[in-house]
Amino acid sequence: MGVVNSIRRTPLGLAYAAAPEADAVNWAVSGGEGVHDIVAGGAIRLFDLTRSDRFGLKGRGAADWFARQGLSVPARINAAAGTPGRDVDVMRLGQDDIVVLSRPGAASGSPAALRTAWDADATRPKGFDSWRDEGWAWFHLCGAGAAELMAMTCPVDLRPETLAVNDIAQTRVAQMDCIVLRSDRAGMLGYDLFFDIASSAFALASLKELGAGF
Amino acid sequence: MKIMTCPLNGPRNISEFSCFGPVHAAFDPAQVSDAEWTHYLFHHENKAGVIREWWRHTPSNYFFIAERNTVTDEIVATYGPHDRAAQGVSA
Amino acid sequence: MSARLPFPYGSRIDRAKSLSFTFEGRRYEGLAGDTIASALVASGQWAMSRSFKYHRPRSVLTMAGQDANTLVQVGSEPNVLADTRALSQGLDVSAQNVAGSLDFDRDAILDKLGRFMPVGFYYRTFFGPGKNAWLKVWEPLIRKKAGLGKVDTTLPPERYEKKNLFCDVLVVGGGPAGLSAALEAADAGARVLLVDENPVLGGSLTYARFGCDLNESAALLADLTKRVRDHARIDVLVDAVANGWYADNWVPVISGRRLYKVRAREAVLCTGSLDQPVPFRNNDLPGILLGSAAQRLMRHYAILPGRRAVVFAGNRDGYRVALDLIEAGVEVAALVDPRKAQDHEALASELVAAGVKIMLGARIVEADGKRHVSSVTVRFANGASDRIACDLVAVSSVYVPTYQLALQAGAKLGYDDVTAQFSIIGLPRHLALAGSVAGHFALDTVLAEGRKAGAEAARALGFDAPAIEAPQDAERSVSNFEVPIHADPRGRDFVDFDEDLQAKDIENAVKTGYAELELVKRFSTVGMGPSQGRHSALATARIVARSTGRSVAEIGVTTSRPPFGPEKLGVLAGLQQSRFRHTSVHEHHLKAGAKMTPVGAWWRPLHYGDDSQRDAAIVAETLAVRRGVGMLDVSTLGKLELRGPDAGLFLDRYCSMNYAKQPVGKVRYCLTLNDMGAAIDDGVAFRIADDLYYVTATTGGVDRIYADMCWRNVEWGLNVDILNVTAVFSAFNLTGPKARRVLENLGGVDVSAEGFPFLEGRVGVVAGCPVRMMRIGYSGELSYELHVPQSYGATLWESLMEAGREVGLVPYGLEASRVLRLEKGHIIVGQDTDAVSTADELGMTWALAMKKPFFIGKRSVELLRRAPLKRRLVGFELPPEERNRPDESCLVIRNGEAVGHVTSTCHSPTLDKWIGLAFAPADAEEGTEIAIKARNGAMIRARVVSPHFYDAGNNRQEV
Repeated sequence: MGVVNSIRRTPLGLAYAAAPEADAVNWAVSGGEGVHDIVAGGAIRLFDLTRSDRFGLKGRGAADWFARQGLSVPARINAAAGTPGRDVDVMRLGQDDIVVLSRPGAASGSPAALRTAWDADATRPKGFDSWRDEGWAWFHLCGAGAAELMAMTCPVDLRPETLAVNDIAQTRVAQMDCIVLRSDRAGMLGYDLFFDIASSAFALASLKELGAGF
Repeated sequence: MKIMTCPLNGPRNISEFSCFGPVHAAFDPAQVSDAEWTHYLFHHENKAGVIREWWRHTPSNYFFIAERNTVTDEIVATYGPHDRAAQGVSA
Repeated sequence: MSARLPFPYGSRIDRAKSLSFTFEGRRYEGLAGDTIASALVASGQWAMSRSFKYHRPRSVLTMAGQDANTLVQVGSEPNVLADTRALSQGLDVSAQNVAGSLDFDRDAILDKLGRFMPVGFYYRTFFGPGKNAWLKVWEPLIRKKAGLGKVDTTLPPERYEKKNLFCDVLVVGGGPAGLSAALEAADAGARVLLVDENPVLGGSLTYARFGCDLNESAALLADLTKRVRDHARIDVLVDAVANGWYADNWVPVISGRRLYKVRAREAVLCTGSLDQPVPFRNNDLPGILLGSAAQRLMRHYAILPGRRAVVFAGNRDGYRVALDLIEAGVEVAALVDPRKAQDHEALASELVAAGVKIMLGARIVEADGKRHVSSVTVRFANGASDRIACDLVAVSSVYVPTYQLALQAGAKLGYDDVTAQFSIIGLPRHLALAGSVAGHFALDTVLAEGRKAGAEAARALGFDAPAIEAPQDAERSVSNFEVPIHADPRGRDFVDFDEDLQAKDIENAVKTGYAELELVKRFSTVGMGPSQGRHSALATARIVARSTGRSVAEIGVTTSRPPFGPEKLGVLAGLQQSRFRHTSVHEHHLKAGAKMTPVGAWWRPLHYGDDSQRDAAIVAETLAVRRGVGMLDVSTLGKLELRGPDAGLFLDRYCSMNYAKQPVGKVRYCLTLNDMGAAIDDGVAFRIADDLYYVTATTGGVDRIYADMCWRNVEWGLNVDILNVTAVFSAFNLTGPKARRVLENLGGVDVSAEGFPFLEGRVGVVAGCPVRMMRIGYSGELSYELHVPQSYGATLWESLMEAGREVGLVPYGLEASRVLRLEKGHIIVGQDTDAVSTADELGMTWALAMKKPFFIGKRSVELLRRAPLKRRLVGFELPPEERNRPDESCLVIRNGEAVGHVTSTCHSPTLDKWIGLAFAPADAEEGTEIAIKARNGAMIRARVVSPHFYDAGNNRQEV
């Protein structure tokens, strides 16, 4: 499945065609589409990165397969890592539960290329598609007060002094299961949130309601 | 709110977990008597002391075993399903 | 307004800023920093409420928000503590529990009729007159008499928030012990959260007189407070109540409209102790208050609490209160000390030098006064009495540690007969005490014990902290003289002010047979009021101990449970965000005018078009499917992927049919049983590849089925990976005789009868979207179910609607779907099944592959089959002349007994008759009749027929 595909849309109404393959945050900032003020004035903002590319594999062989592609798969579960020269981040959510995220920059090692390579690979085991690009919404919440806001909806301590960049917490946000990755990808304190895509509108409304108290 | 330590995710509020019942030794239902089968279905021991149970960390869908004391309400130990030997526990 | 005391009295007020407000319709002036109560007392308005039972006027008792005397109504907000609520400009304050006015309460007559309301009156007086006397007469009367404030139900909702907080060390209480503990722990490197219910830190340092020079304690307070405020590792919450203790140091802290859920690795409770009132006749008159309350009025608000005082002192702090009063300009007419001797001669000498008469071995037996105390009667050890005129009685004789949080955490309460003091013992791990809650009283001891507790908490967390030695407590042994309680036969010696309970009430409760404290509480209601026994627990324990010949330690206190203080329901509720899930074509449904309905968290179209045309819409949508083609959004269906070499084997074990042998490209029904053999879910399995099954489950069941599958997978140890793809795929069921035509218009997949037969599946591309298609359906018509990654959902829906325009394709909703499936006799698991219904009862014996060596529930099915079937799910229809209608869950009756119930029923638009499914006795053969009892009581004769009401030969779906 190509990333640029005019017939695909996100739950919050963004067309995939307009989203460049990489640099989703910068694109969102300049284009304005998919950017939501969680706190009035933009002190805390949310980027809807749902249409940004990602590729997940789960099941026997998943971690090894990504490693064979030359990616640095974190040794520790609940951690993410970049690979020098490759503009992706690899999240490890389980022994064999890996998600590769696109990142601002060039396309080498992009999730789409990985998907093509995986589809063509006849070796077994190689993990199974975990559909993380379709099953999960991908929000990025950022701003100096982001930790404060998250504390109103998440029972895990996500303060910057506790959750380091590239640390992951699999927990609950807005009373639903959520993967929280401290990514700081907008150049300030920020969290990537991955959760049930059908709850996108709810999650946005929920965060905005929390932000109204700031 | 009690804390349970997930072997995969560390200490979390117990509301992130759900219990899947006592750990039983594996057996073939076809090889047991009717009495043994109905005992398995309907008899819950409700033991006072340390019991072993299956638990699931819901957000990560991780299953593990917890030992908890039903008298003191203490969670004695938690470990992955394949770590029984390491914990010195016989099935 | 009378003049306030000069600086440095009045630490909390700003004399330059005057505020006006009304109380009971009269205008008053106060100062910024005042509480409502301090402003009223400063204006000479002592009475603030009428008591619960006898409607006696009541006024400040603790000035600390610990009693119910000062509960007032502020605007539309009921039950506000006037002694802690900050005054603001224009407040509209009124008294509660008043009939008429506060000054002239009609119900004050109840005070004279007290003997008709004996203790335990709830339980023994309300059986007459006549039937339902309680509901008709007594309950409404008592409710009105006992009413507190008035709730305004028309107010707009207010915003309440919750927030999680995390700290290394939680310190509850910002007095000298708490400040010291916080500093020591933070200095060692721990992150500390310090919580105090007062608006400013300092605790007793802000009002009490310690052994040291006044300037010295003021300097100490300033120093501690500044160091805490400046400390980078200490967060401070003031005006915040730690309102309970839950497992593993989880403490709810309420501050205004916010609830903090604090998780602390270590906790130090420096909650102080509560000064206790003393029972004597009329001990509730305005002007009689705790010594600490008098000190607070002076130090915090610069209010002179009276002109001429009698101090009742059972400990050294009572002497200090007397000295404070004298310094402020109050004449202390007498100091009444029930002890035979005291061991703090220096304090006594100071008082004697100031001309105070110290009466040792004496006690106050009665106070007099109409709306304010005007005199007390003192009885001496030799039996003589004296009446002393006064307008203030300050009582300082007994402390009870603020034990609530510690006891909730699992600690126990002991009682030391020598010091006549409750003590907290058996603390759980990760919890410590310091200060007067731990029985420390001398200031140097309190400070050192605080530091010690802080250092130990930090050390427990691995920080390096110094070892601290605390000095011997010089004041401990005589802090709590046990004042003898003599129940006054004329009563009005209140033990519990909230509930208007007198000493004799407690004695009578014991005499009535309730010797155990928990029973005394339930019978008398002692400790059940807003202050939750904070001022009655010790006195009650002492009375019960004496009355039953046991020790106070044996009696103890009643079980301490959260909350510590009253909390608003809004605080508990928080923002109340309820999750909702939308399918990829939610907006399309709205645009098409769908009436949406929640199904779990999902929202689904119930029907399309205006609600007023609901019935017509359902009929039209049903007939559109039967005659043309309709489309149902089934995206909410549970969807799972089972993949790996053992996927077929796993499904064979998990569901009831054969799946390992199922050819690729085929779709097969899945019935899931539990270990007891009851049907708990159903769906279909489409084998996409050797090692990939695409399995559906019910909308409501999928989360449970997925979790259960994953658990069994761990137990069984098979080589299969399971993924919940419910949200991944949108799914649309295109159904009706013209369904094929719609797909032919789009092309991409061969949808001919030969190329894509019933119960087969295909993977392909339709309208540019990658689809998984199955020839299955619920309606009984030619059906294609198209599953597509949700990002393509809107495009596929739009393309199908467009391609179907020429054959009149319409979307249909849940209601029509339920009618269609009932006409076809398909069950809904959860509606047509219950917790024990088996496949045999449901007529689904065909779905059990009993030759398989194992599947969940097989063992129980075999066992159950050895007994005759007792009930079956049958189809029924009503004769055309029947005018009564059955409803779901109406009973099936035979020989006057309930033998089954209706599970589904509707009027079939296709067949134009009433049909339904019901559990009936197994011998209810087709052609016989069953009797159904309608909601209106009528007995309906219904004919048992095949549940496949429509197209029993399946000629329409398999074309």
